[in-house]
Amino acid sequence: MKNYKILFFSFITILSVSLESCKKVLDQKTENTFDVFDRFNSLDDYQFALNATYGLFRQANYFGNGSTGAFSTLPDMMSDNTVETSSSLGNYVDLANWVYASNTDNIQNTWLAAYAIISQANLTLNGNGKGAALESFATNNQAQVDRIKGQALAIRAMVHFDLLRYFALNYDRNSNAFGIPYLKKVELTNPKNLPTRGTVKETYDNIETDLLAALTLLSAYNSTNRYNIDVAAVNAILARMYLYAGDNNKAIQYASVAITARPIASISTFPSIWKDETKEDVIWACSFNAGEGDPAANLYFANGNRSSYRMHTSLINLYVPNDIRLNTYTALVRSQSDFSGALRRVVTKHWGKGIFKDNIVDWKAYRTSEQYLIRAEAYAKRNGAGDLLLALNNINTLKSNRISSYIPLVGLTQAQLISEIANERRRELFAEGHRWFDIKRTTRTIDRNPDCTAASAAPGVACNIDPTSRSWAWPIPQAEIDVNVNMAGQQNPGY
Amino acid sequence: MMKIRLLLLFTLFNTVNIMAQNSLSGKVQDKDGNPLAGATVKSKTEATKTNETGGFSVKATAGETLYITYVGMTLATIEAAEGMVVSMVSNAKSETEVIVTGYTSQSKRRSVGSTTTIKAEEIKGVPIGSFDQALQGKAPGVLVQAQSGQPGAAARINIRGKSSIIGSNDPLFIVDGIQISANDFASLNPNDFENFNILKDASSTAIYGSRGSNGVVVITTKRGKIGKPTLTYDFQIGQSTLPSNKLKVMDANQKLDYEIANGNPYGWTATEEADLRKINTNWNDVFFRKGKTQSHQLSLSGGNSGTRYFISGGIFDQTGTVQKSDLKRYTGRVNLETTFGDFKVGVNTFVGSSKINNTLEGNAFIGSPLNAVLWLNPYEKPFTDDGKYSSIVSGQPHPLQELLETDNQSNQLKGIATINAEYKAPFLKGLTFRTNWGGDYTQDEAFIYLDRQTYQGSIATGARGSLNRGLGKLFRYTGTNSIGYNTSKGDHDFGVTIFNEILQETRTAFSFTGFGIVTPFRNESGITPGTSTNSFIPTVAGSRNVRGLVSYFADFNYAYKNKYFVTTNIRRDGSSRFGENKRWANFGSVGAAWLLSEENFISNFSENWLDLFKLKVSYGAVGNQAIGGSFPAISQLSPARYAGQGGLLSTTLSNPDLQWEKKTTTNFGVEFGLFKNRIKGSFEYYNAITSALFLDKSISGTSGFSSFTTNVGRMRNRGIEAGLDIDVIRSKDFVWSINGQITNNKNSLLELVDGKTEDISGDFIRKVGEPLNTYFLVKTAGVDPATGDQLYLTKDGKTTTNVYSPDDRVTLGTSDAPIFGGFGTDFKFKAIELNIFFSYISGNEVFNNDRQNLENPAYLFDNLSTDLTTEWRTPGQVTNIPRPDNAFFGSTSRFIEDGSFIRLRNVNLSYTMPTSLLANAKIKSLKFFMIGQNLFTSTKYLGWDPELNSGSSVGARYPALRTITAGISIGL
Repeated sequence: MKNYKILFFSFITILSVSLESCKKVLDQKTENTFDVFDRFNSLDDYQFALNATYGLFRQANYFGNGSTGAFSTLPDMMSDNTVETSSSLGNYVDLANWVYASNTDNIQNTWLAAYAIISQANLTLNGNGKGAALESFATNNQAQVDRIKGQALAIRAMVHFDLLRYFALNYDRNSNAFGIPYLKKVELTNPKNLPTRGTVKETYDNIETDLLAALTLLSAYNSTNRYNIDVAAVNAILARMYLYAGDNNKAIQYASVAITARPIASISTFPSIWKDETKEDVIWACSFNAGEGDPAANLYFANGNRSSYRMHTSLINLYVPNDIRLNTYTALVRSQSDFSGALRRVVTKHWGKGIFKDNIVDWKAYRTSEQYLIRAEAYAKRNGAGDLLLALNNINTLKSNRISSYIPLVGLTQAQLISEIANERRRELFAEGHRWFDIKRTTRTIDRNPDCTAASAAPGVACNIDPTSRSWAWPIPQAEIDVNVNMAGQQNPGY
Repeated sequence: MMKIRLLLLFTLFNTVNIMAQNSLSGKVQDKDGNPLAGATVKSKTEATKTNETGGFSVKATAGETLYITYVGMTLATIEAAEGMVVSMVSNAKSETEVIVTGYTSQSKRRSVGSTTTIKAEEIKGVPIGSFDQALQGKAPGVLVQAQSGQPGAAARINIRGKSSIIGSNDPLFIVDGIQISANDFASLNPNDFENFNILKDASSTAIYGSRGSNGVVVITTKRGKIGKPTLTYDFQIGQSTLPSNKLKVMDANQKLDYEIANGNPYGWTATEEADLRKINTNWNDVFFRKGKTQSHQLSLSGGNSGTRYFISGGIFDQTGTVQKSDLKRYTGRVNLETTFGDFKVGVNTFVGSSKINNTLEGNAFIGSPLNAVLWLNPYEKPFTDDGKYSSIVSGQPHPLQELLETDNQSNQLKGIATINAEYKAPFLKGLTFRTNWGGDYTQDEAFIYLDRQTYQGSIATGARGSLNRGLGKLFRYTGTNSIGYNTSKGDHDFGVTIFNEILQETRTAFSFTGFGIVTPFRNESGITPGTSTNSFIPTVAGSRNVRGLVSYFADFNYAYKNKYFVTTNIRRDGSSRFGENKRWANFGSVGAAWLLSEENFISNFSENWLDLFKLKVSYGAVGNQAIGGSFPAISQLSPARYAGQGGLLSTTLSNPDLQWEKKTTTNFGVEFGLFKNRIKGSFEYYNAITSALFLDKSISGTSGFSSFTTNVGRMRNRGIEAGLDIDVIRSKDFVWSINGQITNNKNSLLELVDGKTEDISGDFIRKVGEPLNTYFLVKTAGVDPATGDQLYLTKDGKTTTNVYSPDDRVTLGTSDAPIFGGFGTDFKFKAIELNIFFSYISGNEVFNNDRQNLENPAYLFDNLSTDLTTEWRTPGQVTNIPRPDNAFFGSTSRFIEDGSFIRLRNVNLSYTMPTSLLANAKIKSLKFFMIGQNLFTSTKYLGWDPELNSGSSVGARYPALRTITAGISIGL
């Protein structure tokens, strides 16, 4: 009987021990991630949040490729700068042929990608609402707090501006057309915020406020590797924004600051820009490294030797023989995965760093040459005393750094200048994410003939779009309208 | 509610009258007069077991009915009298079948729940690498769909429909009392299994609480048989062939004609064209082969009344029809059980190793060899004249090169060990203490080598091939302690068991990918170290995750007069996956059964023909916790990098109120046996409602997220299941029986997020009143003979238009099969046995994505479906294929096909040598057999294989193996 009792009690003991360990079994902590509410008690965490914000620019729906690449390659794919080839797998035909509707996934995904950056920027500015606020570190680290805050504000403004570029009906500074919801807060638990579009004017107001605040906060900050938004970059963003908004004075003012800070690259260093071998001409670049995606494979996928979009003949014909850009931006490469086929011209502007041809290369989001073109255009449009000459000088400076034995242009009328600047933007900014927006804010007409009907073009390439098309403004994603009552009546016309 | 019932039971229990009783003795024997030792004899007051000579002595009132049970025999009854002799009748499909629920076991006769037991014998020798596939069509309510013909690929199992939308629908798998991972069976040896018990309703699954909502598959392994050691050796060998593909692609002439008619995109000259027409490569012949299967199984079983043992070893070697794909498995098992005094201790240990070579499947990637084999032009030669892979004009990767010059392996090492101890308290009869601890250790090693010459290798970082190796480890232990008490008093049998259980799983993973494979090594030696001047920067990744589950539960059984049965269980579960607020939840069930055939008013007139008639009903709630990783309730910051700096990225939004999905099931059932059980069957009706469904609530995208997970919505699975076994002829030399089963499950969404009535996602819609995975596409209405335009039906279904508009999308049926089952027939003539088994699925639709790619005229640079030869060319032409320059929209009913099929799943022919011939050779048994697998499939689906769980044939399908094997089984 005694033995039984011992056994019985040892059994009960085993049972109790296992009960005791229960609590431990249930209290598991995340190991490869953090609970967001456990963090933001140090300034480091704010810096980490900012770094992650920059990382989000590499999303495949923003500067990255593999999805829409909405702010890198897509604006060229949607324009007359390129034509889709028969090698294309046709993943973006709905965008490139302007047949999108409110339920087009690519548009919804772009919308989400942009707001993901904005949300992370707001997390950088606001923290988690539980830890220490960013401002609370100012006493000991004023400079770093200013840098973090300034960059986050600049990113928030720039991304909203990018959204405005696709979704707004027009870009007039005081337009009452629908703008873009401007988000200044982050919601980490059960989000319920249902913002409204506001007007284009209100969106500009917010962008301007954030950028000017960033300009002050970053006034002493220079990013030596150009991977962060510094004082020169904020000036460049402001200049581009004012050009779109039609404020020529301010566009000239800020472009001039950016140009002074970051001089233009000469003809000899120009090819090195695209191999990441020089920082000249670069104002802000989004860093891409191996394993982080790439910014331009949608045009020419170097590893697979697949040229989905080639340069349009009309653009090829715009380059004079001495222009270094045509053969920097494109190259004749044999087709076939083993390079055994026929020669064809492919987009090699973003071929890779150094000798590599793997598309892994920094995305140059803002460059000095664009600032010259902004300043030229603003002068030409202002057309005050001496402005046309100043505009011409800007164009000549740019061209003399791109064309060997260049003979400067003289005596252009305003109309000729505007046309020359538009062409120069195509030549210089090809495959840099400008053309669709440039047409949208100017002629609103695209004619892809004759390439669109060539045998080598993908079947069904659309040839024309006219100024009245609904497609000039992207539709607000249906998914957004479905959940957000405040935007229910704010769809763009025609969708 | 629960408490009242408990009190009631105790009250019944205490009011039993004690009657005048004597000790009466007797004997139990089989029909040939051999004594049966260990049979249970039960009177109103006590139960006893027969001794070695079949004798017993039991306290009983003379004339009362005694119940005698013995495994493998039908229940016998006798009027108690001194010197009584009970003859028991053997029954292979016995009524004394035992249902193992993993925690307890009970006789099927007493079961109030819905369960199906499949004897491992039924699937013995089926030449399939993953045993779950062999369960197809075997059990009512259980839908098993193979996803691939890759040797070792797991099937998907859904029990009584899908009860979760975004959570897991995999049943819980229990082996010898511990949880093992679902869809992970390539390393297990089905020859070690004794049987599968499939638990379906709330009464049988509620004891699994938060893991039970998708049903439970309880597997018991073989135990040693008392007697002299028996050595068994099974050997089989066979081969697999490719089934036919109903989706035909063009031959060289058709393709060239098509190209010429559509603008000659490659600009072939007349001479080139004439040369190409002579080539006509059948890429299937180049790509596929005959697979081979070989299996060796050795087992040793034996024991005495103290200790029993079962030892086995197995080798299974199968090569697939796709070159290079194969499975090699080596397994070993030792099961020991020993009894001493009041203790019983058992140890089950298993180790298995599998090595799988596979290829990319289930995608539309051009680098997948199984896609390229469909897409390549027939006028391409596979090899150049000097034997190299030819370069494909269209730029498509070469399927054979992509297959043979890459390695894609997964190696698994699996160890399952359990130890259990049972102590029958001698101081109180019926009191049992039990503890069961066990672990499932799984180690997965993945290895992918991509040669730099292949397309897959050329798109790797650095464009010079890559090598990836990953190691994942999972250790999951389960510990269960229990105290049970069983007693019988008069007409009352009563049992209660309380349990405590702990389960914890730890997953760790590590992997790296190296680049720049510029030397001939196909392993780590080939990797070029990454430097700042080359782009061969390797990537590494790792993770660790721990989850825990703690439970307290109890099970109550009560039987009255051996014909009224009540079972109740309750369980309280705590899970580490949910937030503090919602960590704990309660589950439970109640069920009752009535054995009408035991009632005098029935048996009086049906004695001769009605053996069993049982009604049963159960109701209860179970849960599901399988959602979104280990921490679905927490807002998380994940690591990020930018320009060499570290970052913290907000990646998930929290919902601290996230909790269990709950499923309540009502079950009604009838079981019957007629004419000495020559006709046996069951019929069940169930109504299961999942509430607090895991669903993604859509939110404004301006938050940076499109949705987060909440518990909203309800879904119903309602259905009937029926099974029937008939022994048409049962004579000494000849037995012919037929069996069949059918399930009709109707899934219906009852409530969605925010009161919405529909929610569109991709090609599918979730709509209140419609089943899950309902297609939502524009309906096509043929081709306009005048213009060659594809015509679409507008939403009202009346008007046709040539304009595609998403607004015209309509519901087009579901991809989840509502009707499924199996039927078969068995013949036995003397020593020859023939089993034929069919499985079927009906009522589901499949979106044929392969066709969408092969019928898209934009892909005219590659091979296309033969249907495109009937493309519209001239006004007035009547055809189903629109003109090539008509805008192509894939998301239409044009590519929806009927997914129904009937498949001759298994044919098994065997001959057992008479023992009289073997006695001299000292062989106990000898059997020869032949097995055919997937010999024939009837379907309207255009493709390799209609068996798809996801509803969409994305691409790169590995067709099911059609296998014939022959084997021998020797017992010594």
